[in-house]
This record gives sequence, C-alpha cells and structure tokens, in this order.
Amino acid sequence: MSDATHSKMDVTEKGKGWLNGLSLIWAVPVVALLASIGLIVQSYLERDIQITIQFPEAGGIEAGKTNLRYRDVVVGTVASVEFPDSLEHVNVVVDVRRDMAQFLDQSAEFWLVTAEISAQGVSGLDTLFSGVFIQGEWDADVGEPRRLYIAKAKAPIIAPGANGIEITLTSTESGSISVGAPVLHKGIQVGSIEDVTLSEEGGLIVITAFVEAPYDKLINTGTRFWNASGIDVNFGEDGLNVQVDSLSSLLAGGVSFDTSISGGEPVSGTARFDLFANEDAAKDSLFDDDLRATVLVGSAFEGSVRGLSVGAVVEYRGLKIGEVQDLAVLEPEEGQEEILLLVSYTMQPKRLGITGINNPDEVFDTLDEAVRDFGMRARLKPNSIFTGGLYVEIFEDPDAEPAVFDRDADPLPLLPTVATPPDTLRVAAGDVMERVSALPIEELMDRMIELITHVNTLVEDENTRQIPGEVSALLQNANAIAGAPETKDLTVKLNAAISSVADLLNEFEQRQGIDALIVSLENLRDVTANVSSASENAPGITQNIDELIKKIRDLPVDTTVESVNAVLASTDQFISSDDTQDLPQSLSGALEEVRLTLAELREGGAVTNLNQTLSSASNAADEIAAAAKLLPQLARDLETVADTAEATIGAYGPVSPFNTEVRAAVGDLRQAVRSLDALIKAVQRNPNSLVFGR
Amino acid sequence: MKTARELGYVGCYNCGTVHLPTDTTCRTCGAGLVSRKDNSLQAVWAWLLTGLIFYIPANIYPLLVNRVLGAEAGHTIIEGIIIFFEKGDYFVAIVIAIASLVIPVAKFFVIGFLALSIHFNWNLNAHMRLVLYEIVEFIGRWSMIDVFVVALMAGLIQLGSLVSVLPGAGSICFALSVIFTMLSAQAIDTKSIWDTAPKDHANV
Repeated sequence: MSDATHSKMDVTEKGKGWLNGLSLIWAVPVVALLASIGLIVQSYLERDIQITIQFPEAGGIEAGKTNLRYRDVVVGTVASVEFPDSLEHVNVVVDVRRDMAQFLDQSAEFWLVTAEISAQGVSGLDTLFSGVFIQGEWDADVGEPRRLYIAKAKAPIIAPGANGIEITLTSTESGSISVGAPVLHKGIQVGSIEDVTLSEEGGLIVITAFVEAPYDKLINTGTRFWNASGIDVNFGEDGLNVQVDSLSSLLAGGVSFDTSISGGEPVSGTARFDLFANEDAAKDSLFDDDLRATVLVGSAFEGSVRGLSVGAVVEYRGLKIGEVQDLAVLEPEEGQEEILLLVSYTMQPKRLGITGINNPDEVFDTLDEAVRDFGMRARLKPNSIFTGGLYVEIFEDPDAEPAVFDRDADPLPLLPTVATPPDTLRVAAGDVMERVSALPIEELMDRMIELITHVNTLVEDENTRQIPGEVSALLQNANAIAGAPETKDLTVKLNAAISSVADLLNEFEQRQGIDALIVSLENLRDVTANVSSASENAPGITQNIDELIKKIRDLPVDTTVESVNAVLASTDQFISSDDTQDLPQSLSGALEEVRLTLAELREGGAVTNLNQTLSSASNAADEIAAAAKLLPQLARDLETVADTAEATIGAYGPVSPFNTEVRAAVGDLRQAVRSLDALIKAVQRNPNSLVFGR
Repeated sequence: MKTARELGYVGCYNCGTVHLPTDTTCRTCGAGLVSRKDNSLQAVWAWLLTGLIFYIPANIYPLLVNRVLGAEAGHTIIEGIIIFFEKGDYFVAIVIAIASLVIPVAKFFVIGFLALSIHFNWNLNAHMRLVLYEIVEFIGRWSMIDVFVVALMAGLIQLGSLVSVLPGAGSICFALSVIFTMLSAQAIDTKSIWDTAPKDHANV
C-alpha cells in the first residue's frame, strides 16, 4: 500500500524525555499516595496499645466484642483471648486507645463486670444486653508503663483515688461480715468493708475497711470498732438487751465504730484495730489501753470453786482487772492434807494503778507490798444469785491475818486468799434458787389471769362489796345448819318416827274397833286435806272421806268395811293417778304408807282400836312426809351454800388463810349434803324401810 | 488493514471522519483533530496507580460498620466474604467475591496489560485487545455494586441506638478505587492498540 504515502506524516514517536512529557495527571496518584501515607502515619501514631490482662476465667469475654471501659467510656476492645502455655489462666489481650495507654501504670486495676445480685443491690444490669465488659480504673498520674495485669476477682468496693482512710480490723470471728458490708457510725454508713480474709496463721479474721472522707477524721487511736451484724440479744444481770444497728447490717453484716474517749491521736497509713464482738465489749475495752500487758497470777482456794469458769471476771473494787485463765488442782505439798484448787488469772497492772512497768517482776514487787502492807487478798464472790456464777475479787483487808505473796510458787505466783465459806455461799445461792424454782410461776400466771377475770366480774357486781359479810354470815348459817341439834337429831327423829310407826302397827293389830276406824278416817281426811292443800286434784277424795265418815257413823260395821274398801279403792286410785305421781315424791311415799296401812287394815279385817291406830299412823305419816319434805330443801340449801362459798373462794384466789378455812367449811358442808342426799335417796327409793325398818 | 495514521490521515475521535493532517477541526462534527492523544498512557498509568492506592485501604478498613446496642463491629470485604461463606451463603459470598475482589483485581491486570502492550508495541492480536478493553469498560461500573449495597444499608438500617449501619472508611476507598480505575480504563487511547499491529501487514 505504498500509494497511500502521498502525505506521509511522521508516525514515529517523538523522542521525548521522561520529564519533558510528564503529564499533570500524575498529580492525582501523588496526592492519593500522600493521603494514604498520611493515613497510615496517623493510624500508626494513634494505633492501639495492646495490654494483656490475666483472668482466672474468661466469663463471657469475646475477642473483638468485649470492651474495656474507663468511667463507662469504651477505651478499648478485646483483641484476642489466649491461653498461656501453662494453661493456668486466660490471657485477654486488649487494644487500648493510645491516649489512655500512658496512664496504664501500677495504679491500673481491671475487673470483669457482669450482672450481679447481692445483698447490697443489683449491679451491671446493662451487661445483660451488651454482654460483659472489662472495667478499668486508673489514676491520672503518668507512671511507668505496664502491659501485663492480673484482673481483680471483683470490682473494688472503693474507687481508686477515693478520699478516705483504709483500716484493718482483726477479729477472732467474722460474725457474718461480708465484703461490701457497711461501716457505720451512729447508724450512718460512712464506709464499706473491702475485704475479709483469714490471716496467714489462720487465727485471725483480717477485715479491710474503707472510711470515706470526711468521716475519716472520726477515726483515731481511741476509736473502737465492733461487729454490728444481726441482732444482739443479751440477757444479763441488767435485764434483756436487744440491739439492731441497721436493717442492711442485719442482712449483710456490718461494722460500727465510735470514739468515746477524747484525746485519741490521729491515725495514719493503714491503721489496725481490734474488732469487738459487740458494742458493750467495745465500750468495755475503752478502759484497757493494752490488753496484752498483763501478768498471770494464781490463787489457791479451799473448798469448791463450782460456779467459777474460765473467762470469769477478776475484779478489784468493782473494776475489771483481769480474767480467769485456768482452773486446776494445786499439787499438794508434803504433809498437806487438804487439796487446794488453783485458780490462775490475768491481772492488768495498769488497772491496779501500777504504771511504768517494764517486766512482770516489778508488778510482783508491788503486789508483794500490797499483800504485806494493805492486806490484799483474793476471794470468790457470787456473781449473781440467778446464774450462780462466781468471780474472783481482789480486795484489801487491813485486818487480815498476815500472809505473803508467794511469788516463787510453782507454777504461778500465788496471791493469798481469804477462805470464803463455800458452803454458806452455795447454800445461800442454792436456797434462793430452790425457792425461785419452786415458785409455781406458770400456775401463778394462770391464777392471776383467772383472778383478774373474776375480779373484773366481781367489781362490776354491786353485791361484791357485801360479799365478805355475806360469806361469813352464810358460813355461820351453814355451820348452824350443819351443827344444829335438829339436823343432827334428824336421823334420830326419823328412827323414832319409824319405831313409832312400827309400834303403832303393832298396836293397830292388837286394838281393832270401828270407833278407831272413824277417828282414823277423820285423821285421814285431815291428811288428805293437807294433801289437797298441796294439790288441787285432791278435793274429791276429801269429800269421799267425809261421806265415808258419815256413812261409817250411820252404818253398821259390815257396810262400814265395804265403805272403807271403797275409800281405800278411791284412795288407791288417787295415789296411782298421774297427778298424784307428780306430787313430791316424798309425799307420795307418805301416801303409799297410808295406803299400805289401810290395805293392811283391810286385809286384817279388824277394826278394833282402829281410830287410835290410824291416828298414830297418820301422825307418823305426817311426820315422815314433813321430814321428807324438809330433807330435799335442806339438801338444796346446803348445796347452794356450798356453791356460793366455792364461787366466792374462786374469786378470792387460792392462797389466803381465809380461803383455807372457807374451803374446810365447804368441805364439811358438802359432806353433810352427801349424807343427806344418801338419806333422801334411801327414803325415796324405799319408804317402807323407814316405816318397817328394812 | 491500515490505520488512518499509517496512511497519513487523521481520524476524528468523535465521529471517525478522516481528514488531512493539516486540518485542525473536523468538518463534520467540529471537534478538534489529533492523530493520537498526547500522554494518554501516562494518564492511564496515573489513574490506575491512584485506583490501586485506594484499593489497599479499601481492603484494610471495614466496608461497613454495624452498631448493635452500642457495640460497634466492622467488617472488611474479605471478612464479609468469609462470614457469608461460613454461614453457607455461597451465592452471596461468590457474588461479593466476584464484584469486590475478582473484577477489580482483573481490571487492574487488564488495564495494566493493555497499557503495557501499547507502550512496548507488543505484537498481539489488536482486535482481541479491543474486545478485552470493551469488556473492562463495560464491567467497570458493576464494581460499584458494593458501594451501592453499603449506601443502601446505611440509609435503611438506622434504628438509633438499637441497630444502625454506617459506611466504613473502606467503602469510600473502594468507591474511589473503582472511580479511578474506570477513569484509567477510559484514558486508554484505543487507537493506539492498532498502531503496533499493522507493522506485520506493512512488511507483508
């Protein structure tokens, strides 16, 4: 195609140099590159610092998700969760913002925050949604950088850098004090328990507490701490004592403190205090400046030391100066017959006014002097009549028999004793105890309650005031009734009546006659009239009897007998009628007697001396009826008397001499009533027995 | 087959009308006439380099950041692919992998290859190279699919502190990378492809 070269142009590339032909377009990648480099440099400068936190276990920590927070601001993210070669714990590698990294020094602390519910409340609820996070705390001082931390097991109770004072409390028992429990002063929370541990020796509970500013000023060397956990119930010589410091301390335990003595010196650093079991112990301890400065001495006592226990108080003029440490038998010296009991106890020389002591010997010197010159002795005294306990009293008796402080005695220096007659002591205490225990307290209480109820009803009753008079009158009456010759003679009378009836019957059998019958019938009419006065149902009989009498007067004996028979029949009918049955049983018994008498009379068929006989029989029947009438009434009276008396006694209570007498009287009364009852029952059951002696 | 340039003419870039070398404007469409664009390869290389530069942070920084209950979590392109793949969403994983990884990387290579072939006058099939170029041009815009997805999600998923999706730094870099790569592709003077090929024919 050479024909196409007519206007040939130069198709070869111009020989341009690199720089000559450099296009402006190259500025674009250069800018991009610079920007990228700038970005890289910036990232490098702002790159996260990696720290490693050792956790015992990674509860919920996820690489790339779990945050590190400082004051609730996310300052880092977990990069990875790894195991060390030893598999001892979990290494959590955290990328921390560079600006924060400089503060990560010795002061930094890390712990895992999870939702937690405890006696102190609910915390970390937000972690339920966002997952757990690692909380970090550090101060604003830039220190030597550190990149490996061991996580705390729990969030510190006190934020790092909080103002206040940290104190250490030692106790022999923790008393349910838990971490986070409040430190109280007059019931107000001024701090918290940070830690509760067992000392390395294992003997002591070491409690770390933090008291916040400004309350830290309240703590000085004179401050005493005590366990404010739960309820303190004390039943002692001074009565019942219940103390509750605060509701939260009831649940979570707590420590309370007070500074009761002035002049305590301010404490610095980590102060160490004893934790007392309760407020009383703490207050008591205010008087012992140094519990450890004690000397151990002993005393040999004769007789029994029953009631003395280890821990019992040693007092000097009412001031506690020590405690009993041990009770043992003192090894008898040669030739010694009586066995002495060795009581060893501590004494605080300061309490005895002995100060400036450097070694126990000086204390013994002073004691020696006191024993020799002032008659210092030890004796046992009863603590309280209720507990029966003993304590050791150190006292001074200038008139005491000379004695020496045996400082070389084995095993302890011996303070001379004054023999306390232990028997007297024990007997005295024992007697009191016996008497107290013999008191029927519960019964007494019941009686009291009863009495109060009775007194209430009594007081409301208008008659109450008259009761004493009435009662005595009543008793007199009762006595009169019981002791009256009439009452006593009652049985005699009855017997007499019975025998007279018996005689009468005998006589009746012998003397028979129509006249007697008439008289007898007249008497019978009288009897029936009496009966009719008691009962309205009887008038017909009376008329019959009247007619009968008339007939008897008018008619000869044969017809009389018939008439008598008719009368008897009607009488019989009357007696057996329902209405008659309703009459007092005694009366019907009497009538029965009459009926029987009449029946016998009829059967006998004899009428000689009938009137006389019948008269006697009628009398007897009357008497019996009267007696029988009287008897239940008497019994009722007596019964009423007894009841009233008893009620009165009940109201008066059991233990007055008056009562005793009344009781005796009422007992007699009841006896009498019972006898009467028996008699009445006998009469009612078998009236014939009265008449016929069977 | 000869190019206009070989025959001593100048073809209009706009409408293809052939002119004498002395003409400066097209008589058909009025566009300026040049036989070959100056420094076209430089522009190609420059845009390509810029695109490459932005492609690096696009893969380092997270493409999107999702914030669930205050906890932020970002994923880069490769992480996203891995996540989808592990979840078993192979289709999505493959789509993302092709759109975000294979195509951009392939584009870099293709553009680079074309630029090199032009620069060193490699004796290759010019037609095939043109087809290659057209594929690159066509497919370039689809690389933006990632950016669209991010933009859509960031716009739609905004539930305050509960769940929200934010575009990450990676998405911006990725978008820039795609844009610069497309510019680079467009900067290729396709006529230059033919400048080398005819030599064989000329000798024939």
